[in-house]
Amino acid sequence: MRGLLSLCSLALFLTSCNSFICKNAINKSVGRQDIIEDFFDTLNVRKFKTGIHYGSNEITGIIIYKKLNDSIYAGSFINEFGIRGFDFKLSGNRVGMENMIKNIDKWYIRKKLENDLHFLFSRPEMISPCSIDKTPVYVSTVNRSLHYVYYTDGKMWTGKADMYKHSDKVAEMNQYADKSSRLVIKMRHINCKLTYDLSEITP
Amino acid sequence: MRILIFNILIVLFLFSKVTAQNAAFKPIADADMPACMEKIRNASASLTSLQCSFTQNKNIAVLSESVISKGILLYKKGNKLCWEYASPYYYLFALNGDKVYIKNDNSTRQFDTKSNALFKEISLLLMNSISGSELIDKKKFDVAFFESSTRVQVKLTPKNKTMKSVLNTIILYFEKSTYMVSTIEMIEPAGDTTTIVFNEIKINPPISNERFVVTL
Repeated sequence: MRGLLSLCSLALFLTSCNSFICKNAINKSVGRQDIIEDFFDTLNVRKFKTGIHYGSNEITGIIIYKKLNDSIYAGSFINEFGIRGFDFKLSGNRVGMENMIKNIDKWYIRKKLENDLHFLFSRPEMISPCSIDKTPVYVSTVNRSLHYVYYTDGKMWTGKADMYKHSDKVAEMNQYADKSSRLVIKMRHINCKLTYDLSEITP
Repeated sequence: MRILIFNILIVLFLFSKVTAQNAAFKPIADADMPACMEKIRNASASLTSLQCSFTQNKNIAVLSESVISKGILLYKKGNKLCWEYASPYYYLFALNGDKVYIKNDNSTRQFDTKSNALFKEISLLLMNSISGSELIDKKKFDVAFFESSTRVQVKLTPKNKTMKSVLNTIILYFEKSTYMVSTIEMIEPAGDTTTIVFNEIKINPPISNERFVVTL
């Protein structure tokens, strides 16, 4: 009986987590193409000047991100001298890290990078409309606890997105163009001093 | 069909070029190695300063993509080195004695090589790459010498396990006219290569000490 109660509590807890913070959620997902632009349009490779900052520490270099085929994307981070930091492969909701430089090859760094690189570079196939604080948004559910929220101007994604774990906002991202770059991506974690600054290097 | 033939011709042309490059270098006889090494050491000993431009080509095998960076290199005896990238974006790495400065568009940072083992290693590697003589260490590398009519090629294969995990081979190219390094090629286990070509090399030009100081 106690076991059953525990299971019920757990189920209720998970359901409450799963409800996220989305209001008026419509259980119908739509294709994202008309709302969020594809990462790769004419080019199949993009290069970004990259800074990853954690408190007063930072690593800088270049991320090369390439579309290998319709479902697999791969990237590489190298520093200015050409020394490889890590490689990654993105396919659907999964990111795999490879060839990580020895001094950052720790399971918790790997996990964090996998999550963050997915948020930075993925484009969800399906998104669901809902509203947060009366603002209409589109939500992509990566897994039971992880959600991306994309803000729109009513039609298109504005470039602003948030990452939610359960019902907590854990990171925010802004993508925009400026004078020096076709695409600038800034991502900031809410509860730790980890930030990413990317700006596309014009070919 | 015409495109196919054109592609085959290009592949054949590239292949013949690579073969010709490799064929141009012949092994230096064991008896001649000490004399060759002596010339490299003498050139290094007489070097007080150096100024050149460089082109760095990083080839990423898994992506079949490359990143080309260009900049200026300054060196002065007394642990002074300035490695300044102008493209694809501005980045400066300067070494002055025990101090390392890193400058980019947004910030300037200073480190002490005495307290930072990583920067000490990077600085040593960069400094030693300038003349090449210190890199040719038979305790750390298996060393093989080759030569063409104009250049000496030194292949260094790391003996150390940690170094082996990062680099398969370092190839240094010395010009026979100066016995100074003109090209460095690094081959990684995953197949990536980094090639740094030094151009417009000026040996022992006057360079002011201020060029190696970065204001914070």
